[in-house]
Amino acid sequence: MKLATVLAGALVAILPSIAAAQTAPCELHVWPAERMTSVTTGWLGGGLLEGALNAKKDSNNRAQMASALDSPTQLDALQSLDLTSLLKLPAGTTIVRHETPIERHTMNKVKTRRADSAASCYNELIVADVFYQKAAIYGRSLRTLFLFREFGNDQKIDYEYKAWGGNGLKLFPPKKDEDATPALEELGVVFKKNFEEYAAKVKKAPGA
Amino acid sequence: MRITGGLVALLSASIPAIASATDQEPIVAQTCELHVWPSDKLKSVYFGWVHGGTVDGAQKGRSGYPALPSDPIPTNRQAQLLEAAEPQKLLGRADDRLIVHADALDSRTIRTTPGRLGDSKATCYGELVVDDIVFRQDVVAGTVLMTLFRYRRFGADPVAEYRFANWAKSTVTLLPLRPGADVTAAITELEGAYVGDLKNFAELVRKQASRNDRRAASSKGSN
Repeated sequence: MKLATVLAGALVAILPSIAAAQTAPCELHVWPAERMTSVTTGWLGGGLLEGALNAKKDSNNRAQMASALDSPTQLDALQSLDLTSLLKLPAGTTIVRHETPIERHTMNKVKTRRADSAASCYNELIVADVFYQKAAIYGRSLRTLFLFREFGNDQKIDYEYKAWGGNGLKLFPPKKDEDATPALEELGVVFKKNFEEYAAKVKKAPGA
Repeated sequence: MRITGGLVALLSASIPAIASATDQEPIVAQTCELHVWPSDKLKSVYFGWVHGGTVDGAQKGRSGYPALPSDPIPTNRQAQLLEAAEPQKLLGRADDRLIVHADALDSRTIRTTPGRLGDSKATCYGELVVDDIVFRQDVVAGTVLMTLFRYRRFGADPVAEYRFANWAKSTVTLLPLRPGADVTAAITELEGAYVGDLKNFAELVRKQASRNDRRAASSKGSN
């Protein structure tokens, strides 16, 4: 009799929390990138000599990208898109912004949830790298590495997809004596395009 | 008689002008305003032989990133430097009333506000925003302070009549600090680079303005 009462009491206590977890909205936690890279190669095909010749340009590009694609700008750009539908997440998914980028070298090492969340439906989107490239034949482009992870009601990754999105640039880097506004804004526009390109493959490509 | 008639005519012509001048508000020359905002904390980018690429690697204490003094050019100090540098004169608008704001604007506000950033109704209004300051260090390309300025001018219209943004760069030699180096001298040099960047940017604005004036004059001449 006593045991039955205790069990019934425990059930009464547990059931509402199970129900709440089942109806609680899904979460998508988003982190910006902390690493900016620029590589300019010409007809010499790269290497140390060309690296040295283009060091100043690449260095300036990195500084400009660090400003034009700072953490709030990256997050704003992503949030301006319909992340829920692009990533094929349930309607009503809550987007959780993380203003501080994660340490790049921990990106692959950490295999559990990065945020302190107990949501039964939990996802992560991490911007891992932002990469400007100028090549002799292909021209200028901005490439972005994204990582998406889907967790179940535990710490185990159910689905993971990591890939680059990349699109051409026409205005960046800005010319020396001209208004830099359009060139800097172009980075944000192409960053969004890169994500859309990446997101189109999420859940279509086999997970890692 | 002729003289009297002439005087009467002159008086009758000038009296309405005096009357209308006294009836109306006194005409005061419109004061132009230049609002200036300092930037938030210094950012840093570093590219070395082994490490590099992480934004603010030095501030985050990452291994292999040369350490920088914490917040070496804070917002309030920037505001003092901007005030002392008299940017209105540097921009060729010596008569503008200078208003230096104490706080930095966030990047979202700076980059997405189409209208005025300042709460001013002046019909002659300009704004100079220090959007970002980046300490750029590269083992091959050297060390510079890069500053992004945004300059806009408004008339009575809510849309800017003129806008120009650009990066300015000045060489830095004393940062990151070597062992036993003088922090004060390094900070003074950094502040000098900041003011140098402002001067470089203002010079670019003036050059652009005179280029535009020449273009306008030559197109008038050809018409």
